[in-house]
Parts: sequence; structure tokens; C-alpha cells
Amino acid sequence: MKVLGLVNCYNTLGLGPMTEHRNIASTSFLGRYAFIDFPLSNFYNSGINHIGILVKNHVRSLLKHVQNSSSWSSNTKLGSFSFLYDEKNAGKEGYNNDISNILENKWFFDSVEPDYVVITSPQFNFICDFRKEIENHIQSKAGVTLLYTSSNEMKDTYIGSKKITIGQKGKLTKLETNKGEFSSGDVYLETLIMDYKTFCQYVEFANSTSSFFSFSDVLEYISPNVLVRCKKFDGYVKCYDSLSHYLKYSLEVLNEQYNSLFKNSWPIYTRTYDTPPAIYSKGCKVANSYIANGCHIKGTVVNSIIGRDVIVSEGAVVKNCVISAYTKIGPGIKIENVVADKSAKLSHKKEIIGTKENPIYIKQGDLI
Amino acid sequence: MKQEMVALILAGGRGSRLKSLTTNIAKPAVFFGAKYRIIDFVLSNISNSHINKVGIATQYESTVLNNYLGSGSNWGLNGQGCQTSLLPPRETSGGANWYLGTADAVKQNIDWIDKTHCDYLVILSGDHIYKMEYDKMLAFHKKNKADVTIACIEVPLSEASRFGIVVTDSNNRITQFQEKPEHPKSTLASMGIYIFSYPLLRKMLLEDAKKEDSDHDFGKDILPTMLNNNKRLFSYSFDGYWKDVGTVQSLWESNMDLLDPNCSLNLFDSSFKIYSADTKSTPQFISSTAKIDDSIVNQGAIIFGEVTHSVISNEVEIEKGAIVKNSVLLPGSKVKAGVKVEYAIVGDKKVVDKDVIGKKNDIYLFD
Repeated sequence: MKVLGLVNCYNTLGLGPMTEHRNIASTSFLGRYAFIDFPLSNFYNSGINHIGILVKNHVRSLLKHVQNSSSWSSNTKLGSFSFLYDEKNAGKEGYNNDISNILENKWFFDSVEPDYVVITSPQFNFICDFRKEIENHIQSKAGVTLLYTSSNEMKDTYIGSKKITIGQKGKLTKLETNKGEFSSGDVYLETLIMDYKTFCQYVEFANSTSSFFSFSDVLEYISPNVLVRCKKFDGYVKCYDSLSHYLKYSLEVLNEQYNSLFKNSWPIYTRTYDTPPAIYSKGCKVANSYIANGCHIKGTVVNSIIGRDVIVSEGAVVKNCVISAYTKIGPGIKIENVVADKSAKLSHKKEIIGTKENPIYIKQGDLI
Repeated sequence: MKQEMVALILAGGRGSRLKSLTTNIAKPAVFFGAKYRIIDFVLSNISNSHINKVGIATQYESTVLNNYLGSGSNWGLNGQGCQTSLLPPRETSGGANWYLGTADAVKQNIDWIDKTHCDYLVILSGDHIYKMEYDKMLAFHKKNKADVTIACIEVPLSEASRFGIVVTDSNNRITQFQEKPEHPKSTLASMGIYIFSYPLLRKMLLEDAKKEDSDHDFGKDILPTMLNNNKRLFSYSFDGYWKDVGTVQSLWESNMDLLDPNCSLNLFDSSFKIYSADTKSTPQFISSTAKIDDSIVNQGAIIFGEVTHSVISNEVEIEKGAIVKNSVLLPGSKVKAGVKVEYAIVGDKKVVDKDVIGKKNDIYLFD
């Protein structure tokens, strides 16, 4: 059975300033990964070796991250790994959508000619064995399987995501944007499973209906008439959709690590930067934190995530923060609830204190 | 593109003084410095010296080493025009042969070297910890119109008898060579790193192979013969960090050197990285019950206990209340709750469930 895995980088909500110049797919996660590592590892671990990445914009950093596709594929001669970009519609908001991208890159789909297609999004962070989901889908005889999660915090989370209504026998009856009116409900994980024929029909239907139609729009439009089966995903899942959620959920993983994202049987693959092990100097204090390789910790780090090659100088205190690669926290600097982007230098302002709800963001390369 | 110089690594040795660490793997494949295997250093040196072709002569327990080396991609040695060739002993039409000595290991691979069409061959040992740019050494070799250039380092007189010792004139030309002398005439020791002008080396190797009384060894046979024949031997002085990690004690010491902020072996220099295989690890996790001080830790480690002045490899787990001091924990090892580990090397994937206490001058190898 030939399965094509698509990472759909369209329709993501972004992480505020963090994703102004990059896609969430290539945004740093837990100091070591990029968000796209999870869907790609899900595909690899599920034995899917035909992979396409649908990219809307901010190509550079994503290309850099996935340029060595062998990090996520086994036999590099079999299978395929393609970066799909809609050059024709680049910069044309509305016209540049996942459907237009697929049409623009039709040759890729024709050349792979899979039996089944799995579409997933880097914005929803979870681990999933797609082999089971595909098997399940086949047995159900549904046209499309849609994965969803249930939430009773929909007033504050999943804002902008799609809320679904499920009818009899798990049939999708309604798909609408969550604007926070309801406290609980079911949320579409931007993850779909279907056979290739259905996939082509959807694309064709969208194309003949509206130039602005995305995959979600098609689902919304046709769901009353076609059997779209809703399948609940029971595992740990988070929707990274704002800067404060980025901070909150990232730090949550520190406490969730044993039962959520990391399982020995389900490795998460990423590219290597050949960084040396981290150094913890005499007198440093570190508690409840993820530290990436290449770091030099001389000060205090509490409840934080520290990316590659970060320096935390003597007397510095980092608390409830996510610090991206190559950033330097100068001597005696105290920061709390801060999200620092790459290569920033925190040298002069002695104290930077944000709140959990409103973390302070420090721009890439900025001198503070 | 033609490669002026290719590298040949001698990685066949057992390193029996490393005891159980080399029971099933060759010494160059022994873990080092939380993230590396010993051979990463010489391979990264080759890569950083812009050498694209490398042969690796393996013999003792070569399976792990061969698997590890693969296509050379971990060190960037798999691109266009690159070659990473494993050269274990082979059966030929004349019968099966083991490598009898260092020179014999090179001689038996003359066909491989010939096909690279190189002018110079740098011969390296697979079990030393150091950083060196062999291209600079080649420039020195060419400038001196040398037949062979030997990288040399000053050693304490008390240790000189363990090495090949050279005596040089004021132009760095070697006038005498003593292999492991009882009475060393200098303290300048050969590091076992040689650049040969290949045509001459080829001739010397074939001649040496015919000698029945030869040990087919560079230090004992090839270099003394060249010196006797008035060939141009030069010493290339090296004053950086260099360690032959031959024993459990020296392996521990060399690991501890990495914790010394004044150590001249800088793993953090991004212009000269030491490359290694990337483990599929999570980021390292330091829990709120952990205490960590003066240590280096690799990705994948999970620390709940207390770690002081130690080297912690990937996937090491230190449980709550465990105390690890002055120790080296190899990949995947585990220290159970409440257990104390001091002055020890803990073998890979070993589980320590009772106290393991060595001494500074008598390191405990927990296997």
C-alpha cells in the first residue's frame, strides 16, 4: 500500500512575532526540534515514505531545516520527499491556498500516484501512528476520515481553529471557526485520511467551485452530502496558535514528558547541528528544564527551555522562559516569562519580566 | 577533482588496557566526551583539513566500528568526489592475510591508495584525542621538500620511553629516531601522524614487505630505514591538546580534561567542530530534584539526582537521590535512586544499583 503524507503548512494561525519571518513548521520547539519534525517523524514511524510539504511562504528557513531529507526517510532511492511551493500564486492572498498549491504541483501527485493520502498540520503537535488510522479508515468504508480532539477550554484555546459538529455514526455535519462562544466542543486537527481518488475529486471540486477554496472549505461545503467520518484522537495534543500558548504549552511538556510526546518506540527525528554537549559550570543552578546541546550554563535556569548554543552567564536568572538558539543572556540579567528568538543578546536591561498571559518577546538578533 | 593528499587511519588495534570497554568493540569506537567516539576526532580533523578521501584499516572487532563509519556522512565525507573506504584485512588470490604491523596494513592497501592518484598520504591513528589541521602540516612538508613529516609533541622525560623519540637539527630535520628508547635522547615524541610523499613510501613499503626480519612497523622499520638512507625526515611541532587514551585511567583523565575551562581542546569552537553521529535523543532534561555542577551533559540524558564534576552521555538516567561525582557515564547507563558513583567509568547501558566508589588514581570501571 502506497501512502502519501502531506504536511500542510497553510491555514496555520502562527505564533505572533515568532512567525513573522518564518513558518511555524520551521519554528524552534523544545530547544532541539522544529514543529515539522513531529509530522515528519509520525510519517516515518508509520512507514510512510512518500512525503510532500505544502508551503505557503517563508520558504528559506523551512528549506534549510528539511534539506537533508534522509533525516526523515529510510530508503532514499525509494519513496519521495518534495517541497511543494505555489510560485504562480505566491504573495496573492486568497489565491495562494493548499488547493492551488496541489494543482500547481500536480506532476508530483501524478508521479507518486499513492493509494492513500494523509494530510496533517505542523500547528497541531501530537504523535500518531497513522498505520492504525489508515487501517481504521479502510474498515470504516468512509470517504474521508477526519481526526479531532475534544476540549472543554474552547473559550481560551483553539481560537481560530475549526470546531466540528458530529452527527449520527460519527458523520461530520458542520465545520465552523471557533470564535470562543462555546466552552466545550470538538476541534478538527487539520488531519485527514482518504484514498487518492477521493483526494483528486476534492481538489477538482474545490478548483471548479472557488479559486479561494482550501481543503477545509471543501469539507465545510460538502460535509452535509458526503460521508466524512470523524475519528477522535485520544492522545496528547496541543494547538500552537499564539505566543502565550507557545510559552505555556512548551513549558507544560516539561511536566508531561513521560506520557505525552516522547516514547522510546516513537523517536522524533530532526536535523543535526553537530553541537557539543552542554556545559554546566561550577555554581550554576538548573531545575525542571530542557537544555539543548552546545549550551553553556553558568547562571540559574528554572522551568525553562533553552535552545542550542545558548549562553546563560554568571548571575543570570532565567525563569519560565523559552530561549532560542545562539542567544546570550548576559551576567546578572534576570528574565521571566520571556520568549527570546535566535541570536539575541541580553546585556543591558537588567530585568525583563513578562507574564504568562503576556510573555515578552525578544526579536531575533536584537540587543537588549 | 584530484586530491593531493588522502588519509589512511589505522584503526585495527584492540586497546586491551581499556579492559572490558574493548571486549566487543575496537578502541577507536570507544565512547568519549559524552557525545563522541574516539575516532570522531581524527575523522573531524580530516574533514576540517579539507581532505575528501579516507581509508580506514580495521581489524579487531570491527563490526561496531564499520557500522558507525558507514558512508562517512556524519563527518561530511560522503559528498561528490569523497570516499570513505573501510579497509579490513581481505582474502586475496594469494590467500587470507591479517595485518601484521602498521606498515603492513598500509602495504596491503596499496591498490586502494594507487587508485586515489594522490601525491601525499597522511597516516593517522584512530585512537587519539586532539584537533589538528593536516593541510597546514602538508604545507610544512612541501616547504621542506620532505620525504616524510612526523607530527611531534613535547612529553615529560619520565614518559619519553613510551614513545618514538626524535632528535632534530635547528631546521626541524630529524637526525635520529629512537623507538621506545630506554634512554631517550630528547623529549620530542612522535604522535604517530605521518605525511609521506607517496611514491617513495610505496617503494619503501614494497621493499620492507620482502624483509623477513621486519616487523612491518613504521616506528621500528620504515622510519629508521629512511633515516639510514639519508631521506629527508622532518618534525612538525604540535603544542595543542593531544592524548592517547590507552588505559581506563587515561580515558577518565581525558574526559575530565573537558571540564577544565583552561583545557586547550575546545569543543565549542564552531569553526572547527568535532562531528559525530546524531543520536535520536530528546533534549536533556534536568528535573527540579536535580543538582548539577561543573559537568558536561549530552542530549537525551535525564537527571533527577546530583551530578558534580562528571561527564554524562546521551540517554543516561540518574534517578532521584543518586549522587554522581568525578565520573564518566557512557551512553544509556543508569544510576538507581540513592546510589553513589564516584571516580568511576560506567559502561554503556549498565545499570548501577549499588555504590561504586573508585579512587582518583585508581578509577573504577563498572561493567
